[in-house]
Amino acid sequence: MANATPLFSDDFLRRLEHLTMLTRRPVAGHLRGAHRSRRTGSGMVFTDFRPYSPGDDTKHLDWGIYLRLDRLLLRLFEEEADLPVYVFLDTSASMGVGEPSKFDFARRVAAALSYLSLVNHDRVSIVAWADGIAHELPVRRGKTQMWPALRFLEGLGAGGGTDLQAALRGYFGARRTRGLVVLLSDFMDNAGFAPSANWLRQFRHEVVAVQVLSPQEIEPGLPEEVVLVDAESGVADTLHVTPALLAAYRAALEAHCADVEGQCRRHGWSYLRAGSDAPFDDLMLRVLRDEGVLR
Amino acid sequence: MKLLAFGPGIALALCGAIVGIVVALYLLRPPPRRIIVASMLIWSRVLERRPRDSKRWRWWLSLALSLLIGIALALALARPEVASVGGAVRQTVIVIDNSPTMATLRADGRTRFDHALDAARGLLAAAGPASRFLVADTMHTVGSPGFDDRQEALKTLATLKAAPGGIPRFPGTGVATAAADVPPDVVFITDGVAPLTPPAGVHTVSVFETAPNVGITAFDVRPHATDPRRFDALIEVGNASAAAVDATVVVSGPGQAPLERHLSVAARGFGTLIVPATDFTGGALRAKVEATGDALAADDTAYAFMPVNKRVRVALVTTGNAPLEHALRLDPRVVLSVIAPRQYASRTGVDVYVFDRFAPSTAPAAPVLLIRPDAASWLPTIGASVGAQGVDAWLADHPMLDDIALRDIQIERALSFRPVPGKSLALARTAGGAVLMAASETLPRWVAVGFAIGDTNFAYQASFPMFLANAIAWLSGEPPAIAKSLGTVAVPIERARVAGIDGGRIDTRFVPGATLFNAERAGFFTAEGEAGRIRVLANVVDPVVTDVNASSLAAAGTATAARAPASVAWEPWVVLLLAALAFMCIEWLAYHRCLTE
Repeated sequence: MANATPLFSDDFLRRLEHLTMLTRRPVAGHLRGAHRSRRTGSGMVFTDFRPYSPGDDTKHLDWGIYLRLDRLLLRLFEEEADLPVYVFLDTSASMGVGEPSKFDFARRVAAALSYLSLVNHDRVSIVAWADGIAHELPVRRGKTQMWPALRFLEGLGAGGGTDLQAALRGYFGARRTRGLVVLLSDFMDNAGFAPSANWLRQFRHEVVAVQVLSPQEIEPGLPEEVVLVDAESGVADTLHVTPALLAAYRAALEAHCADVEGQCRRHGWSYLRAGSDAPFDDLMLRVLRDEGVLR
Repeated sequence: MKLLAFGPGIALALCGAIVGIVVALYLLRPPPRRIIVASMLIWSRVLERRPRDSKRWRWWLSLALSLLIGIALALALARPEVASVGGAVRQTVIVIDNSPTMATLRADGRTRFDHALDAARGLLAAAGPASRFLVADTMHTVGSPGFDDRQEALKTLATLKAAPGGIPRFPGTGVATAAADVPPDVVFITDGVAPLTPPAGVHTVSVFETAPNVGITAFDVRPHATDPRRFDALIEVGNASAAAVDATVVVSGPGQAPLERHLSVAARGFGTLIVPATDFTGGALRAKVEATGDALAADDTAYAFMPVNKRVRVALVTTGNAPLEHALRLDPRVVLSVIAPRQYASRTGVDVYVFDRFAPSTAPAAPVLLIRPDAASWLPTIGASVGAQGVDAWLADHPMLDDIALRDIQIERALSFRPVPGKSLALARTAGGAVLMAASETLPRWVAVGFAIGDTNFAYQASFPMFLANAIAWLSGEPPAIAKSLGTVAVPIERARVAGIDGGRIDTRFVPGATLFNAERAGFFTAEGEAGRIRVLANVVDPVVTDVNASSLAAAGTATAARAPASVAWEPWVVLLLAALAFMCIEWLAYHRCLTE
């Protein structure tokens, strides 16, 4: 764990408390929460009737139907469950490159989403991954668990390679309740995003992918003669940078981002691309709302 | 190849130094900056689509281009000369025509001669720095004994100017040409008017341009044919223009207000005016022609000499000589009296004596013309008798023989004289000795003719009356003015003082037997020395000069335009500089297309 740094101001945290994570499908939480679930129970939303059986709680009997039809029917309600939120934070070395740091930006997004999930009584798991699972914060629930979550995030550092599929396999190899998976990464994975997406799709999680890029990645200001060194592998290559080469780079980067976005859209997931120099408040309070991730 | 700005050793050292510096810079070039990027994933995809070859050959290519640039610049700095590129180190003879017509103004207000100088300077500038030049002119005012460098040639050009007169002649460059290593280029810059025939192989540069010109081609004052006391001035005006010209002629002289006459001169033709000059008191008369757009000023003014209308009393002492007597009476100024030898002693009031086959024992008080005189102590020593033969040589410059040729005279028998240096001068000689003598310093003057009038055909020659007139004029102290062209004028008087028409002194040079001075423009001059006084008329009055458009180059058209010698082609240093520039462009393109590092 790396040295800790403060992530949020109090004012920002207060504004986060007014937000709620959204899911497109009913959640599968087994604790009471604020999200619709497929189970019926003591919720507020009516879903169906069923015949009364001995032992059922008589408070859900529909006495009006009994008077009209002389049948005992129970009213069933949609049970509101909590939302399992799995925050996958990329801590590979590539996230540590750029100014402002992509890793810091992603940590703040992770922290913000964790905070508002905990506030809404959702269960939050934070997984720091690189070429596998690096660190893991076990499931936390309740607002009081925010401080351990923040300390966990503040203690993380960037390093190692990138292998998302290995991380997903390692984490979801154990049985996990279906929930919301938040992927925070630059998706600079040599294996590409498609294998990971296909593997993740079978668990029917809701996925929100946030691709973080640094300004230097989006618009590299390179001298004419340069040796580029890969932050993860250390591989170096000498380049003679020309406008044509830069244009080709921009096109390749755009194609890479489009590929990640296309994978997400194809599976009905949310995708968001953010520069590490983007206003963080704006991202949390407006962009994620527009994308349908927050309410 | 020759290296000029530096010696070959220095130039090679310079090239070596540049090669060393370039290679060292390439070897010591700082490594490219290392930048850590998040991932080479994107870059590797880019580079996969832009495959590159091995880097090493690009390094070598870049080094080779840099070396080529440096060596080309170094060689350009050394200013080499390569025969196959810029022409050999040439030797060029530049002959500039500075005959009088070269002073003709062109349409741009500059003379043909100015343009000739420009063309010559252009040749000098275009030639290589090691080229050598010989500058000569058709009037022989300058001339280098050998080839000089460019600076010396420019200095020589600066001393040249269009000559006001004289006979142009293509200069001989044989000695300098023979001394040259290779046959030199000979460039002749001319307007093509002067009748010059350059040798074969000469490149002719034309500065000819048609110009309007009106000039005086003849001016003379003569006594009237029917009345010797009346004088007429004859003025001939030439028009070189392609259109008829209205000209104004003004004749001025002492004793009368200027006379102005107008005439129209046909295109490329001549007009003649006869102006009565009797009312002028004699001396120098000036004629000036004026016309619109005249391009040559030298031929616009001319001078003529009108003898002072004074009667000369001549006593012919003879036993009888009708041809001589008749010829003397033809001179309108002569008041002739014919006396027998025995009456000679009693005569007084005579300006000039003419002794025919007679000589008194003592010298007469007046100048005398002796025709086959008897021996006398005061006369030149008489030598052997001369048999039948012609005149071999004569002093044409002497006023006595002005406008006279003696080549057709046949002498049956004559006396020969022995000239005494400093006292007498032989004017005409046969194979047997001097047959015409004149006093050189003695006063009064005398002229002795060694043959009798009846012993020759001289009396039947047209020059006979002119000879008598010249003799009477010279003996009476009124010698006729001699006519000269502009330029260097020689008068046959040693150490003479020369004055212009306004009395101002003219700079002179002395040579044995003559005095030289420069007549820059038409004028009337008086040369006076111990041997006497001579009047000189310096005029252009030459139809060849006035006809400034009679150019052989005009007839040939542009075919005679300058053919640039090989030495004015691109110089190697320019080629090298352009090559360096081209290499820089290639390097720039290669660098930006990632071919070089």
